[in-house]
Amino acid sequence: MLGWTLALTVATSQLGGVRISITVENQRARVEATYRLNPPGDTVVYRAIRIPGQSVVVEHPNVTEGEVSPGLTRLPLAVSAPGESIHTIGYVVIGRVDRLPLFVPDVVTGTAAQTVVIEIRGVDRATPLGDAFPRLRRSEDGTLTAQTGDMPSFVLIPKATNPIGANLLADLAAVTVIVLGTIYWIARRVGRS
Amino acid sequence: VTLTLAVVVTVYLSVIMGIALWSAVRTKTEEDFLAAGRSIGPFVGGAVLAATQISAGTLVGTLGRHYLAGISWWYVWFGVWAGWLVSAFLVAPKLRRFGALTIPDYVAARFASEKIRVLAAGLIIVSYSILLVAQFQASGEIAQAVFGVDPMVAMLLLVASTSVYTMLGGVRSSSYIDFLQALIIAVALVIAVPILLHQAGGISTSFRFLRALDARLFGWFYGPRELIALSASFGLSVAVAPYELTRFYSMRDEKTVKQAIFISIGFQFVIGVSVLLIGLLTRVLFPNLRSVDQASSIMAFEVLPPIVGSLLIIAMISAIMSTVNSILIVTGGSIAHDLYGRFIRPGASQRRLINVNRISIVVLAIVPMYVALQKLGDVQSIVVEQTKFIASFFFVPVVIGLNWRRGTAAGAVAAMVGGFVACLVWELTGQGGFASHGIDAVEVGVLTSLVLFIVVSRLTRPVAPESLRPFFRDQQLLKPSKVSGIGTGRSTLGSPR
Repeated sequence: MLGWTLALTVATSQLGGVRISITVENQRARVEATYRLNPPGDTVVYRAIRIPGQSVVVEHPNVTEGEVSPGLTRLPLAVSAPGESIHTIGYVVIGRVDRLPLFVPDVVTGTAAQTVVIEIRGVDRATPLGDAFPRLRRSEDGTLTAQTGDMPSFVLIPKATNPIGANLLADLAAVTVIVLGTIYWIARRVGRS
Repeated sequence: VTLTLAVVVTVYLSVIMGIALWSAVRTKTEEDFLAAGRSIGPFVGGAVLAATQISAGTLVGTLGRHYLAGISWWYVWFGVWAGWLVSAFLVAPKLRRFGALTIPDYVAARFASEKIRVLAAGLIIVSYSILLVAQFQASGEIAQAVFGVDPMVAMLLLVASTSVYTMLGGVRSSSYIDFLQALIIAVALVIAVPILLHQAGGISTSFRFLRALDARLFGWFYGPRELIALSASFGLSVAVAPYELTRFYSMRDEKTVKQAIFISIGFQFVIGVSVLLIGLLTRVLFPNLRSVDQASSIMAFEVLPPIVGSLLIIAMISAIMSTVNSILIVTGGSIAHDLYGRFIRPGASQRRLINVNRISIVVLAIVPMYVALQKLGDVQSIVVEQTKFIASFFFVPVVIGLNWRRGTAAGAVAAMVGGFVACLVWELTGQGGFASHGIDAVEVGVLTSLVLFIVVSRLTRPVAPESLRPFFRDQQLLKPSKVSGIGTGRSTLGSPR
């Protein structure tokens, strides 16, 4: 019931499309992200946050700000000309590669259904995809792909050591709670009548 | 995900239709239909009140507000709960003891006037039809975002399913269905929080990310005056919301009503905290969504495990259905019980009144659906505006009227009309913003209503003691004679159980 009438979007400009290519190797992952956007000003600020046990090395472009606070990398990229711009950011994540940070621009995603395309290579074919984020699909050549309408702030790489998966456990817990609750409620009503 | 969602939706709809059919068999009289035979206990009652309170505005709008504004929006809940406490101590016990079926029953009896019954019924129908527009519109947007179906198809399905279970079993079926809905909402939200926290990288990572994104997320995104006005809108309207108050009538007794209100606040606390955390954590996962109103749908569809996500989507749809259902009962009751049964065909049979109620429900559902398809405004703004109007015309006659015996029919009419008009004028003349003076329409509306109620009541003849007897205990002791005032509700419907 609660609501209010203020602005409904967090920004006004739009992200036209993003293509992210990730290659996972042992203890490191290389990320190449290309952003097509229509920014309102002459600078777009990108932010990524790393988790403990991981470092982010930006290879291109050359940046003036890097890690501005513990874990937070901020990249202000200039827009070359008015209208549509394309930015490419390449970086390497070293250490923990199960949760890879993505650089998120301070513009909202556009109205297209599949604005963001993510491709991941180097993940074992036998690894279950249950706990991945965003939702991933495995293609015939073993590449994992995700297509979403909005820009996520990270990618959760599925792990082979987690065969059951937190998602499956959560689903089972939800079903168990509701079924047990219903049985208890029916039993009480039957007992009362 | 889509297959899981289809299965969960099918199972859920089958269960609620089963409950509706079971209730229909047990519904014999108008009292059964509108008050579930006064049989609802505290736990089901509390869940019902919570489910009625939690609507599309909470799971779509409030979650979106937390996504956008962070924790400062959460303070609005204190206004909501203050409203519930006002209701628990100053409104609900007296209304339940009085034992009416509708809110117009109460105003007609308390102020000994049939004219005020018509005015109250009319204002209820108009204001809640506006709220129905918001609910239908929200259902269309969720359906479009999640299922990719046309909003009109979604609205038709919502109207059909909600009307059917409302028509079949009245308050009895909706009470048990609301109970189920409250459980699903609470379970889905509570399970979603740890999953999202795990996905977002834990508390520390999420906090750092959000603080870097926008420091106001953990500070004052909305200023104190804005929050006071918002709290007043929700709190004052919750205290007297006819579709909430009507649910008191279906409970066993006054004690049950009070217990149910506290249980309801407990449900709302859990839901409120969950919605806050989910909104913030969704911001970590998707920092720049194109619309904050999409945060809940995207989180449920893209992030959560298939069954939990489907449950949350069902919870959102359920919340809309329970609100639509409650509104249809109130507005349908206003037409059948307060207008048809009192003025058009007094003495109509119980069966006829139930049938008129059922027909009214269908008509009252279809008209707002047409308006919703025109997309006249944003869902949240419609919800907020509606709460302002309810508070402006109902708070004073109900809360003050129940606790100040000197209030008269003329005072109540002046308060209702004056409060409504003042709120409307303040909004239409562009005074609603905070930029210039920081005074909101709800504050103007309620204050105008209060002044008019006191002044006009003082200038007019007091209500006869017989009409006050059901509401004031000492009046009962002084005047123990049988109630003979207009429309006490008891004379035709029997004593409350």
